[in-house]
Parts: sequence; C-alpha cells; structure tokens
Amino acid sequence: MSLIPGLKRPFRRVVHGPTIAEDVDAEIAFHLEMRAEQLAAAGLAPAVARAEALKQFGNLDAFTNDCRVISRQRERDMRRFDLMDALRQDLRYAARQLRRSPGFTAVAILLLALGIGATSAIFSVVSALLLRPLPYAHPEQLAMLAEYSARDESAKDGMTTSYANFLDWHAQATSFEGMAVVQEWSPSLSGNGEPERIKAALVYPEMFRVFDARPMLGRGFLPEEAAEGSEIRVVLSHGFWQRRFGGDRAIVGKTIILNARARTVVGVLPAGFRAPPPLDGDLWGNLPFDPSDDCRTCRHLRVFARVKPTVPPARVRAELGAIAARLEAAYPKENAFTRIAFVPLRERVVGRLREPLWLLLGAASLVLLIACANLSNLLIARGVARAREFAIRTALGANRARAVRQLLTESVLLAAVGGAAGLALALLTTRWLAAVGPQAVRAGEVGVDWRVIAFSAALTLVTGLAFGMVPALKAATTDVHEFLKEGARGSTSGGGARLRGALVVSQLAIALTLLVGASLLIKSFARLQRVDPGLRPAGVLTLTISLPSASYPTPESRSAFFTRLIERAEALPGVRSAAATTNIPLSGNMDRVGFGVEGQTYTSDADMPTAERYIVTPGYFATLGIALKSGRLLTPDDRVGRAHVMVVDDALERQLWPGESAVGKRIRGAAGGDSIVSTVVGVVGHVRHYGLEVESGGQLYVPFLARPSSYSNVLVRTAGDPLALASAVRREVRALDPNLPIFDVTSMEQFLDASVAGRRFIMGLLGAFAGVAIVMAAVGLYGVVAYAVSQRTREIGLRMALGAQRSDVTRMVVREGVVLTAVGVAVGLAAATASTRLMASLLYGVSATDPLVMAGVPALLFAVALLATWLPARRAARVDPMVALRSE
Amino acid sequence: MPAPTMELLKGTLDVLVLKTLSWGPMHGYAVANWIRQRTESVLLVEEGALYPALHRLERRGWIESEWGVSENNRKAKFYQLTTRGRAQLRAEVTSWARYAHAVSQVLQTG
Repeated sequence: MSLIPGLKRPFRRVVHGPTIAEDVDAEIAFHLEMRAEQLAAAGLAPAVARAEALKQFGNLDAFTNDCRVISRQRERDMRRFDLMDALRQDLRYAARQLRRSPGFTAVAILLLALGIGATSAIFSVVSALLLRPLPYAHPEQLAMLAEYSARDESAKDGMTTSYANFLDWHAQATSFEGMAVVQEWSPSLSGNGEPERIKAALVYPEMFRVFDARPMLGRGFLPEEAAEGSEIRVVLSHGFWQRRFGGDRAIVGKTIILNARARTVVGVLPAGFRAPPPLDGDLWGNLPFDPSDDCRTCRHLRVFARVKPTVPPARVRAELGAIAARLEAAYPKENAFTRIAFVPLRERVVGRLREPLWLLLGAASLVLLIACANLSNLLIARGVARAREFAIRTALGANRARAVRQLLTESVLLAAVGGAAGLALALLTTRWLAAVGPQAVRAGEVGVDWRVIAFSAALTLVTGLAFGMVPALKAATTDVHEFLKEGARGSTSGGGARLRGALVVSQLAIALTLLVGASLLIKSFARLQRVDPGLRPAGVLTLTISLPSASYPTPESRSAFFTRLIERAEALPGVRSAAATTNIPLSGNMDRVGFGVEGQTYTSDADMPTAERYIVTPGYFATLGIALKSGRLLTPDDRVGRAHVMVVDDALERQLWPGESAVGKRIRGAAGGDSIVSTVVGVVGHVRHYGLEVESGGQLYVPFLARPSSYSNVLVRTAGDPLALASAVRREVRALDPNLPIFDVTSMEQFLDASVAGRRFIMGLLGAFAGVAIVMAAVGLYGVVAYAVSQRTREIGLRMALGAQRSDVTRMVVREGVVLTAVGVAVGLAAATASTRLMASLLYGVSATDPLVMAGVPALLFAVALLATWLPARRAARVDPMVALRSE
Repeated sequence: MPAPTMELLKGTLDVLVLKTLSWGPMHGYAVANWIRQRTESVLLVEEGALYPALHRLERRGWIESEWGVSENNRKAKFYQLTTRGRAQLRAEVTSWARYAHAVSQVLQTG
C-alpha cells in the first residue's frame, strides 16, 4: 500500500486507462515484427515473412480483443480493490479517532441514539397504522358502517346501529359484497376441562364473507341462521380449537357448553384468519334477529362491510345517503336526522390519530435535527483542534476530497453506532408504546419490522452525512499554510464562530417550537381534565344484557327481570347503587330522537327538536352521579300505567324554554308513539355524551319501568374497583337466568379513559420530545459558549491583567449566550406561530397562539440558556491572568 | 500426435508461461520462442494464444508487466513472476507431477 492511496489511482488512470488498446496493439506488433525479422533472416522475402508471422500468430483480431477485455477487467478489479482498501483504511482510522476521544464519542452516540431512536419508534407506529396494509384479505374493500345524527357535528363517524336498521341497509344496498352486524360476547365455557370466560362475538351470518374466511372444517353460518328463533351455533377459531379441543377433527356436530347451555359447533376457521376486534376472539356465534325487539333505536351493534371492488366510495356514500333518507321517511321518530357513516376500515382503525402521528413523526425528526446540529458543532470544534493534522496530510499530498471523505467516514461510522443504539432504543420504546398506547396503537400490531429497520438505516446514513458535511468541508478547506505556522491556533474562529452560532440558534429555535407545541397540548389536556363530564365515573361497572323475546315476551317480564337484577346487585357487599339504561354516555352508544313540544306546531319533521334519549331506571342518576338541578328525579312509581313523565337536562331546558323552568312542560313523542305526551318532572345536569371535548346537545330521560326495553346496559356503582365486582354481578345474572349472554363488561372509567387516551398519548410523546430537545439545545449552547471561552482564555487573561473585574468577564460571556438565545427565541417564535396552526385540531380551550404559552416558553428557554452560559462564564471569570498569559 | 483439448491446452499454457518466466523477466516474443523450442510447437499451435494467457495471469496477480527495452533496442513489454506467481508455479508443478505420475501408472499397468 502506498502511503497516500488517494494519489495512486488518478495517476494510474492517466497513464494506462485510455491506452489499454494501444498497449495491447504495441505489444502484439512487437511480436509480429520480431517474428517477421527472424523469418526474413532465415531467408524469406520480407512480404512473405510478414505473412508467415501473421499465420503463425493465428487469429489476430480474436487474440487482440481477448487481451483488451482481460486488461480492462484487471483495471476494474484494481480500481474496486483500491476503493475497498481506501474505505477499510478510512474506517480503521475513523474508529481509532473515535476511540481516542471517548467522551466526545459517548456524547455523540447518546445524541444520535435519542434522535434516531425517537424517530424510528414513531415511524414504527406510523408504519403499522398508516403505511402497512391491514392484515386482512383485500383490506381496501373493508369498511365500517354506523349511524350518526345530522344534528351532531361532533360524532360524524358514528359507532353503531340497531339490528332493525341494519336489516334494511342489508336489503337495500347493492354496493356491498357482504355486510354484517357484530356484537361482543363473553360467554363462560364449561365442561371438558377448566371453566373459562372466552372472548367471542355474535355475528350476522355474512360476517365470514365480509372477512373472506373459509372454514377449514364444517361450514360458516347460513343466511337462515339470522332468522328469528334460530339456535345459536358456533364456529371456532383455529387457536381455540387446538388449545381447548386438541385439534379434534370430529368436532363439527359436537356440542360445547357455553353459559350452561349446549351449543353445536358447525365449523372451524383456518389458522390464518385475522379480523379486527371484537372479531378476533375464540369463537363466533350467529346473532338471530328478534322481531319482538324491533327496536330501531337500540343502537348497540357494530357493522362491518366489504364493498364490491368496482364501486367507488362516492357511490357507496350516495347509496347509503339514499337509504338513510328512505329510513328516515319510513320511521321519522326513530330515525330522525339519522345518517349512515361509511368509514373505510383503515380510517376506523387509525381514527383521529392520523394527523397527530405525522405531527409526532415531524417532532421526532426535529429532535434528530437538533441532535445533528449539536453534533455538527461538536465536530467543527474537533475539526479546529484537528486542523493541524489535516494541514499536514494535505501538505504531504492528500487531496481535499480525500480529507472530506475521511471526515465523512468518521461521521457515518459515528452515525452507524448511534443508529444501532437508536434502533435498540426504538425496539424498547416501540414495545412500550404498543403496550400503553391508545386502543388503535395497541391493536395495530405495532413493532419493529423490516420497514422500520430500513427506515432507521436510511436515516442513519442521511444523518451521518448531514451532521458531518459542514464540519468536513470546513476542516478540509482551512488554509494549509495558516496551520503550519506556529501559534496560528484559533485563526479560523471568525467564520467558525458564526457557523457555530447559527447552528446553536437553529437548535434553540427548534427546541422552542417543540416546547410551544407540547405546552399547548399540555394546557389543552389540563383544560380537558377540568371539564366536568356531568357524571362521576369512578367505581362504576357496566355490562350489557339482551333479553330474548321468547323468554321475556311482555314489558312486565322485562321490567321484573331488570328490577330484580338491580335489587340483587345492590345487595352485594360494597355496592352503593345499580341501574339499567339503554344508552351509556361516552361508550359510543347513541339514541337521538325527534319529538314535539306541546303547543308548538311543526311544518315538517325536520323542524322538530331532537335530543339524546336515555331510558333509565330510577337509580341511574345516583349511580352515575348526575346532579338534580330542579324538580324531582324518576321514581319506582314512574312505570307502566302511570302518568307519562320524563326528566330533561339543563341544556335541553335552555334550548327549548330559554329563561324558563322546564318542570311542568309537556313533550310529545320521544317516550314512544306520537300520542304519548310526557310531563317534565325534573331537570338534571348535562352529561358529555360524545367525549369531554364536546357539548352533546339536549338530553332526555324516559322511565325504564314505563317502557322496559329488552336490551339494556346495567350500571353498578361500588366503593372499590368496579371490575373486581364483575364476577359477582355475573353470578346474580346467572342466578336469575342461566342462559342470558352478557356483553361488554367494562367500567365507566375505561370509557372516559379511552376518550382521552389518544390525546394523552400524543401529549406525552410530544412532551418527552420537547424535554429532550431543550436539554440538547442547552447542552449545545453550553458547548459553544464553553468552547468560545476556552479559545479566548488568553484574551480574558489580558483583559483581567488590564483591570477588568470578574463580573465584567462574566457579563461579557453571558452576553454572548444571551444574544444567541435571543436570536434563537425570535426565530423559534416565528416558527412556532407558523407551525402550531397545524395542530389547531388537537387543541382544546387553548388558542394556537396562547399568550401565556408564547411568553412562558421563551422565558423558560431563557432561564435554561442563562444556566447553560453561566457555567462557562463562571469558569472564564476564574481565569488566572498570569497563568492565561503564560500559557501561550 | 493429436492436439489436446482446448481447456487442457489453456491450463497447460498457463503453467508453461509461469515456468518460462521463472528464469527471469521476458517479453512475450521471448516466451513464445522459449515454449516453442521446448515443446516442438505442440503446445503453442497459434502463437497469438500466448498473449491472452499472459494478460490472464497478470489479472490474477501471478505476473506483472512493465515496458522496457528489448535486446535490439526496441520498446517491449516485459513480464515477470510475482511472489504469488512463484507460489502458484510451485503448486502447479507439484500437482502436475502427481497427475502425470498417476496417469502414467495407469497407462503402464494397462
């Protein structure tokens, strides 16, 4: 190897490269001439000798060509070898350099690991939720259908519908290959081993067509199994079949005991079947329609659908719009203002996280950018210290491109190590995010896959080049002669200081932007936490029961069942109160009805007011902690055969009778047919039905005992952990009727929690990024000021020798930091003002330019910056003038 | 004597070139003469075949070339064995001897 490998290559290319052909020709010509001369000497005539020489040589063109080809190949080999060799050398040299300054290397790797780790972790979430196709067959055709109220802008996506409405959609729509209602189901399995509670779902038979599932054993459900009075039969998941029945291939036709009742197994799905919750359980049962329960407002079923591949979304929406209009006309009370939302499954899965996720990815990239700027600064400082080394190398003949390449190799090597550490960090973080994130993230199979690894690798390379480029160019272009002169240290500090200053300013500006964003989110969250939901969720267990019409044909029987259940639940130790309700706030249920105010006439149904309706037992208000404002609550006497009464919330009171009391006012409809007129007997506080962020419009409460529904949620308030009570409540249900399925066991707190989980997730991550950003920026500022101080030790010593006080020196250094910070804050404020508008949809009760945040964050940044400059300033003030002056 | 197959010829030629150059640096013409004299032209029917062989050996790093001046004062390209080439020649000679011994044993016991 030559001492300076960079030199050898261009030299050789000049001498040999273009002359390979000539070279071969000359070599062969020499041979032919020599042979001809020899033959001539032996007595042949010159022309004959030349011909004979050619003849002995053989196929001249072929051999010449072979030689050229081989020579060119050899040339290429050598070039490649040189390159690899140079790279190996560069890498070895770079590794040695990094090992030689372990402090710098450790800081650099930490910065990179944080930046690349944060970005990769967020990317893994983005990749899983936004980029990767959903893991179902032809996922782009899958959608969810749900009802929403045209009167309520806040819940346009809707959540659920009723079986009766679904059947009409199913009969009328032509855009779909299949459509199915789904209800969560958690039956207990007994017999054949340990009893256990299993995760299951009751589905409309077409569900398997929607998810393109073909049973590997037996069959799926038949259309007639949705009909009234059908037995519930079950299809098993592959995993459950293996786990619980040892993969018994004769399982089809056998019965299993669910909720103490024998159910026939009709099929087993193959192992690869995947579906979103709640369809991802152990088994599925058919959900028969119950005509006596033709309850159009019992909106508690989710609908999955598969669109025909050729039908564009616009046509699907148009068709659903027409169907909704027909249903509204046919059932004006039940379906007042009811629209059908068509939500592609991807959107449903990602929900409102789409924009925030991109925002978070942007924020993480900004953290990485700060890390890069910081590293650039560190490298420039090192570059100055190593300028002599490069000056010598240049003087010895290494060219500048070569020096730049050497420095870039160092930064890419650094980035590679940092990137590997970052990927490890991302692996941990991603696992954590997937465990604690909001529902969509937990369900999204978020993880580090090849996409994430490829992303991290690309990011690492780009990062290495990004933070290495400026310092490398800078170091490589320093003037050789300057540096070979003795005592010329610091001569580049003019331009270098400006560049370093600019890098610090950009770090401060980015940190400020992130801090402002995080502060706005934190303030929004705090505002939201102070919002009174109108109910007290702590300690409330919720579950859902649907009474089959065969066993509970009359209103009296249904009323009796729920009354007895509530009594038994209330008798349980620790239970304060219990209630039944058709509609639970924050749960995604909805039951919006149109009605008339007595004395008013309406030209059309569209003019009628609407309200969210809850059909509740008397204990409902106490159980959810809803406050009575005036009048009275419902009592056990408000039941079938008594005077029709209802309770309204204060929002409806204000809307319908502004300035008056609602008590004593009369409402037509809402509690049943048009002929029923109910008297308002009380007014309660408004409850935030669709989440903390939105007022939900008016609400009214109809006595359950007057209009007992077969479908109801049961709420139980306890002093302790509500979920701990679940099994006791189940036992009470079973004691009353062992065959009843129980659905959706959860707690009010979980509903409330789910409604803010996404927001908390975003706030937490952005907060963490902002925290990391401000620390990095402070370290960066500290580094620049400290470096400036160390470069100016002599000057400071001189000033002090000439009579400057320590305080003067401190002030001089701090001023430098303050100026940089001021510029950073100014730029950052401009950037923040421009960018926080992107997050307007994430803010609650806070303007994107909230004055407190816009003033407080810069103040905080200034405080941190002062600390970061005060430390080196204090060191500067301690400089001993004698030592400083003697040191050079 | 029938001409050996091309592949065998190629391999044989390579060894012969290495052997020839083990006497010292030579240009292609000298190598050709040397081989022709020793083998009575059996192994070098077409002299031109020598040149791809030389270039091939150079690509493998067994020989290296340099332009110089020939005995009659002309510019000529001289080839010389490298260290690796010398090692290669030793290896080839050993395996040739073993091969030839094996073959002749078979032929004699026939």
